[in-house]
Amino acid sequence: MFSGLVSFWQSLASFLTFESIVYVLASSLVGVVIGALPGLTATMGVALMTTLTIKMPSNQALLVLICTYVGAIYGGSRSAILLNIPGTPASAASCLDGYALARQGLAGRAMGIATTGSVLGTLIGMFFLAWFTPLLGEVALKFGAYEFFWLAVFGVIVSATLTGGDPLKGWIAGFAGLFIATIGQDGIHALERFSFGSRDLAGGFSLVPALVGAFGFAEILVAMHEKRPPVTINPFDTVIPKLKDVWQYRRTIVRSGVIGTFIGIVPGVGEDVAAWSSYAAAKRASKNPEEFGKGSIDGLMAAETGDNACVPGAIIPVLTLQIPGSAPAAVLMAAMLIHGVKPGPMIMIESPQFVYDVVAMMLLATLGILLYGLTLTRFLIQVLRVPTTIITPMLFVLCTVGTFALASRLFDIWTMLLFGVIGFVLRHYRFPVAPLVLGIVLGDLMEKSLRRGLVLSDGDLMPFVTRPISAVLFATIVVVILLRLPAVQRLLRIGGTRG
Amino acid sequence: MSIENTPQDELPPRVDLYAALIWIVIGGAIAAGAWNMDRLEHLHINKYEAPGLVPGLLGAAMLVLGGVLALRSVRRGALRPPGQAKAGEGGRRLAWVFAATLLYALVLVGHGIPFWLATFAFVAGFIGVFDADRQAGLGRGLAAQALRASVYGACTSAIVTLVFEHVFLVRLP
Repeated sequence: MFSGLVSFWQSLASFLTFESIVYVLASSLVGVVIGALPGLTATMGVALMTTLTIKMPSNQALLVLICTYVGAIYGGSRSAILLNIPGTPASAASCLDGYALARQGLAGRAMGIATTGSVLGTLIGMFFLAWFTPLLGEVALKFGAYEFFWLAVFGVIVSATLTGGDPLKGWIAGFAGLFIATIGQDGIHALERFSFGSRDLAGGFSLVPALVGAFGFAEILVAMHEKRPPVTINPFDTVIPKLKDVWQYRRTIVRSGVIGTFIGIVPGVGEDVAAWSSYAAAKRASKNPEEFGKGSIDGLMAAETGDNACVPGAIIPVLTLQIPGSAPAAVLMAAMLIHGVKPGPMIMIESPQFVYDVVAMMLLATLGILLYGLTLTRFLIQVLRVPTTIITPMLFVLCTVGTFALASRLFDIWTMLLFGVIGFVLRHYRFPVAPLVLGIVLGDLMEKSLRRGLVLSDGDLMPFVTRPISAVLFATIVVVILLRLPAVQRLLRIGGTRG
Repeated sequence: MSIENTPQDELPPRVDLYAALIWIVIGGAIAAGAWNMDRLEHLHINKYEAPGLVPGLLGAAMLVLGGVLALRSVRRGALRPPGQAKAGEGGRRLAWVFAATLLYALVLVGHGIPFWLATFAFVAGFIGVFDADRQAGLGRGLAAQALRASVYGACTSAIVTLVFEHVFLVRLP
């Protein structure tokens, strides 16, 4: 306990330099602005910043990325409250009550509640990050090839099922992502697969250009495809949060913080599900559920606490299992690998201090959003007024330069363009992009684990379903799939009616 | 077998059928490619280490799920005569945006033209063309529009070039 606190203080002290504080201020601002702009997501922000920070020392680069991530998830609440447009998918739940409050002339109060919820949510998630990572790290040491195989499949299936929309399409996108990860030399015998003689393709698609394409270029195309009307912003009162609100909604804050964190830990689910789940739980627990959707402070507090608590939660499986809890966490994981940090089950043995570094980064990011939450309202309103037609070409320049900066290869720019088109087409035809991306991230782990497992068992499939952790993961995957089948849903409905 | 869908995400069933057919073709091609892949028998490796194993399984999964999507779309009426297709303004704008981005990323950048010039031309041209309606709505003439677009282009080009080269210390394309 005390050794953990000492490690945390050491990490925090290492970031208390002029340079780090400038990075925190700048990257939190970038995150808040990206999050506030409708159509630009946290994943895009983290992916773009990954390309920009490639030459920085690893801890400074990851500090920038975590501040951008936290800032973007928070920033989404601004456009949700002021415009009724979620700045990021994570803020969709905040639109319901945030915009209703704004229409009652209480936009400032709503923004104050969003700031309070986001700050406290991140702090609750940060506490679990510090507490749970060493515990989960110990459990992760028991994972072998069989367990990692199911964990990778679990991530893709759950992401496809829970991130909204059509699960069948999500599963197809997830399997496509897993396949994309197999393109290029195979990881065991270095045989070229599906490279069609191309030397560039033989190395496979680099993850970051693919992510910048799928979440950056694709979002540019979506933004230009859907012409948005000029923004009209309601007048607002003071944005300073009230301590009274914290005390009055303390149960909602703690409940949503815990829900958000644990949803973050589930591979591939992410902040939007965390926000909606926290919102639903708050509505069930509320004495006035009829107020939800009509300007409920309780509802807004729950959604904002839940989505920000999910950020540290999503980083827990990155650190312990090398499995991302959300799409932005997938980019963050890729950035860690690029910077030579190797997350995974051995992290508490090989580099335990890094875990506390991440906790300290999270605290600094929280201070960043608190600062901007109190001071930046008018500036953000000006940013929201900048038309898409002016922002998009600038963003595309950043996507292009950023992907080239990674390895000075034109092939990375082509990869970004290709995945941008794939991402746009998939979205257009209602295929979710998050499972595709998670598939690309987890493909290598899934393939190596399956082949190693089969070699170890000499083709016997039983260890995949009889080892305790494997059995639990396998059973969960089966249940998740079965619950989406109409026949099963009909049976459950009939059972529910009779009950 | 069919899978539930949320109503707000529904597309016309015929669109889903086309998408399903594409996935069936892709999945089938991947499975066939994996089946014909070198199994490295001459290296006497374990048969479960064959490089085509996982892509083959994934291709087969995509083929099957594509089939399920096709069946579902047929059950939802994909084979009925389609309604009138709408030619959208958004589609045309998208085509031009796509052409402009390709021009910048594939032609202007990395092929001898200085980066700052390519970026200036792209940003100014993009804003000049796609922001024209909004500018006209604000009562600005062509010369004023061109001047504003050029200022945005010059600022973006200068900031990106300076920041990337001198702050982030990266090589520009």
